[in-house]
Amino acid sequence: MADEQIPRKQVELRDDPKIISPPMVVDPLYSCSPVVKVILFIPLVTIDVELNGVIVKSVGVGFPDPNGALISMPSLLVAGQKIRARQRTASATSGWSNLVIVKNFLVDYPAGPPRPVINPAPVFECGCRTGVSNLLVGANAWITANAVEVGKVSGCNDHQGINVSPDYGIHQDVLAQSDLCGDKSPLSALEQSIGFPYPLPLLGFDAVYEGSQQIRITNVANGARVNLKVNGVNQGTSGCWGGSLLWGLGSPLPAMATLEATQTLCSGNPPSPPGTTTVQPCGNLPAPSVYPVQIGDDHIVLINHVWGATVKVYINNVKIGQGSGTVITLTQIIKAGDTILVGQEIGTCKSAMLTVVHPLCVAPPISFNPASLNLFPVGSFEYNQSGAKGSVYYPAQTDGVSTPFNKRLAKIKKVPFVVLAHGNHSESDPSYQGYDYFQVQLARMGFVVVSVDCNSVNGSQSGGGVVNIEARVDLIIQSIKLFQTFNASANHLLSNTIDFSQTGLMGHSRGGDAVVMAPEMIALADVSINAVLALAPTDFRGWAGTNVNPKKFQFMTILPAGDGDVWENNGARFYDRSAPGKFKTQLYIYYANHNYFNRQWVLDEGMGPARMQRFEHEEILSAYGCAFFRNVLQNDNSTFGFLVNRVLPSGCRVDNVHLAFQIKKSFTVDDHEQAGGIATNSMAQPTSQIGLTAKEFPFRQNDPGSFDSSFFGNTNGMVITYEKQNGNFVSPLKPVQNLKDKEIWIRVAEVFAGNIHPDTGFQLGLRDANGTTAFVDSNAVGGILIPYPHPNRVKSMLNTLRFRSTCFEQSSKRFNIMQVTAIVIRCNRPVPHPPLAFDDLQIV
Amino acid sequence: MDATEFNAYNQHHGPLVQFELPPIKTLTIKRVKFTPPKFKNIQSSLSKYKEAIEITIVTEKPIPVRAATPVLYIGKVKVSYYVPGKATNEYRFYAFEIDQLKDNDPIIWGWNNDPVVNLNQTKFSYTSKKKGK
Repeated sequence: MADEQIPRKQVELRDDPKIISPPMVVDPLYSCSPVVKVILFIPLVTIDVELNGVIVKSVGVGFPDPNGALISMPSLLVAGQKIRARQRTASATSGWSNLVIVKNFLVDYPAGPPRPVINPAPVFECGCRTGVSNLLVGANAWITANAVEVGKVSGCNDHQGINVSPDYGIHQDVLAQSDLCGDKSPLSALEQSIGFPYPLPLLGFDAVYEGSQQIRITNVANGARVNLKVNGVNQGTSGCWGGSLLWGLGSPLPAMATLEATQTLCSGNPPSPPGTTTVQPCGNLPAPSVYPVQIGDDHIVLINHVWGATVKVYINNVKIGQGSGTVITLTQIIKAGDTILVGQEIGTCKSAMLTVVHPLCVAPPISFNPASLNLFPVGSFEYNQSGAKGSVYYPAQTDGVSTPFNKRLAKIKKVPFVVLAHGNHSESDPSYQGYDYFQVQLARMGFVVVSVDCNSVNGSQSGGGVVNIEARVDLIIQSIKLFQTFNASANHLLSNTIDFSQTGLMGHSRGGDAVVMAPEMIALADVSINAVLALAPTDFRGWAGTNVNPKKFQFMTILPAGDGDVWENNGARFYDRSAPGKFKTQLYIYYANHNYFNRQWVLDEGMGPARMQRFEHEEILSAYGCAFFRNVLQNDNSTFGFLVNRVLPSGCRVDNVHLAFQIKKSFTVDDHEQAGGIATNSMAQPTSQIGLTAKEFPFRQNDPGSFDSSFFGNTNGMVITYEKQNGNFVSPLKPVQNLKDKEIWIRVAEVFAGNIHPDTGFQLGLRDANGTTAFVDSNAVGGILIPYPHPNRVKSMLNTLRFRSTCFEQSSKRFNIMQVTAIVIRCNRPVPHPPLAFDDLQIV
Repeated sequence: MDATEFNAYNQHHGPLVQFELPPIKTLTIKRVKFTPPKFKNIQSSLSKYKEAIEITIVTEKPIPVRAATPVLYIGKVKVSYYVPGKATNEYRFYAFEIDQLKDNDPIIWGWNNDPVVNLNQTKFSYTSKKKGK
């Protein structure tokens, strides 16, 4: 959706020059680092860095993009030191930034610094600069070519460009490594330098505007030298690690100036043809594009801005933030009803338009990618003994087949164990190899990951029904047994490395059915299955009439909405009946098919609208699957937010991922399972309804009591049919609840009525002891999902909406969040309106 | 009333072409002693059965390989357990609810997750006599 914008001249803005945002000190800071990293500052300001209450450094800085400023400290950092920063312009001084306490990096990385990544790869012959990522800020990083050091940076950034000298030759073995406090990281993956497939591409430019002092040049070959001219005047030559290059200029660019850039690699080959652009006049400077804002935020995130621009943020026409970079910190908290205006400026040039933002109750921010944790090289081997067959990936000393297990990690702890099981497919294809990408990702963050070859019960040998699922369970258990023997062996490379008390399972298709069954049937000493991920699973037992009740483990299921095989999305049945150990979560993925999560399953075999590409399927499994196993098996709380839609992972199509979730530590107001029907809620309180019809129905297939045939789960719920606008369904609470800092969760789906409805929704209200009801609209918390047009049936697939209590507090001054007596569903849309299905009204 | 294109998606469609079940050429029925499948680590849910009705079918082509499982519907009984037979495209299905099988019940052939409209009537019906019709 395009941003709402208004002309700047239509509003009278109060732009107090003394108000500028504080910068941000990047957390964590580690002992032994000679630098502090500061981001989100205004271009060309002075940064003051305070250490334990004393300003120890004041330095001028350049531009905050692409990766902040590294400010050298008088001495190496020491654990326990307290650091913060502020910025100064000629007319203003910001408040202090966040306070960061220096810590020993071994707290976060007990097995040593993470493994550097040569990024971008590959490295080309004659390249003069290489990017290295996955570094700890402040570490020393270096590059070797054929075992000779060719470049080094002390006190590096997390993604650091390293100039190399001499330039790379052809077919050199290039490696990166780092150390902090003298503690060395593993070597990076090996890159061998290769010749560039000349000719070099034409360089491009992002739009440049009058007054710009920072420009972005694109299409740069890895390691190339880039030369820039402005109006024919040479600005110099800079090495670039590849991709794009942000170039800071000594003076503002005038309108209509011509920029020209070329790149070279080997001197014997011609440079690229000159890429050119013209500086656009001030009047063309656009407004920045802004990510949705949540009530309670103290910052805004920019989706697009002009490089080097200063961004100003106004609430109700009064400036409350001025900064630069992708995040602008604010000097006040955003409240319900605020109108936020955002503009950008370059020098004296101001964007003619302002972006208008209205804060939402819930707009989960994009966070890190849970699949990106990269600590160790990865070893692997195939196994085929004792009736068990498959592959295993594990954290190793070096990459390769049967390389030794990572010694340092082995000294610290035994590592969690994950077993993958594919589904039914031609036995001529090695289906078990289809999740190698996921195995590598988990192994490099410290898991031993097995993928079981189930081909002995696949294809022509598969047989049918529940027994085929049992056969898969048997193969899974047989592989676990084999790895128990490896673990117990004195001389196996996996000897004494695996913690079977932290075992997770992931199964796909019939394999997904099997991993739900396996915990019920496994009887191996010391094995505890704590996490089960069922990917597009079948439910043969359910089909045969047996309710499956997953319990005693954390459960995740992934349901491809465009599945053309398990088109009924049987995982929804498992989800509905799963009793969460700590939590359960369900991902309903639009434009996804059954097969593309497995690299050996080449056909789409989806139905309905065009599906996403294969890599997009994989990225979703990687991000959410790694979040799941990290949280459950590594006790990593940093990934829990992804599983309950509090934050979104970067690096995948989150716009197509729709979650239902539940945690054990919650208070159920109504799950529609109690006796008494719709007349009482789960707290045995009498409900009431007016202006609508609310009834309870089984939410499952082939049940004569169902509302219609669109329900594919296995639970009971409520369907509300609108009779007139503003009908109410009231669910009383007893005793009176203090909902301060709580959330109300409810699962909801539109029951498809034959056409896409233009404004499906409702309002959730909280009623206090004085009878005041505060409402929040479903659109303010993400909205009700538009039903997916699967050709076999448009399903009523319920997803969870989170309503934060602060939103109710801010919507009505008279409302008392400390004394809530009832929860109200108000059907505030005009009729006709499609029916809405609800379940699991909870206080969290 | 007009309909959007979206509406067309709500029609029942057949399975993907590659998932079409091949027609049954022959079908024979007999009562047999049943040997449950044996596993290394678990006991099969069929281990309680000593006897079964064996329904041997030969199809025109191999049964497609997919997640869903093929089923013989005999009256109200769903028969999904099968093993590959020795002949080409031969499959031996086993029914255990023997008392629920009624003579002359039609035999219907489909995937376990087929919408009812997609199930295939066959020319066969159940008989407790030794030979199939």
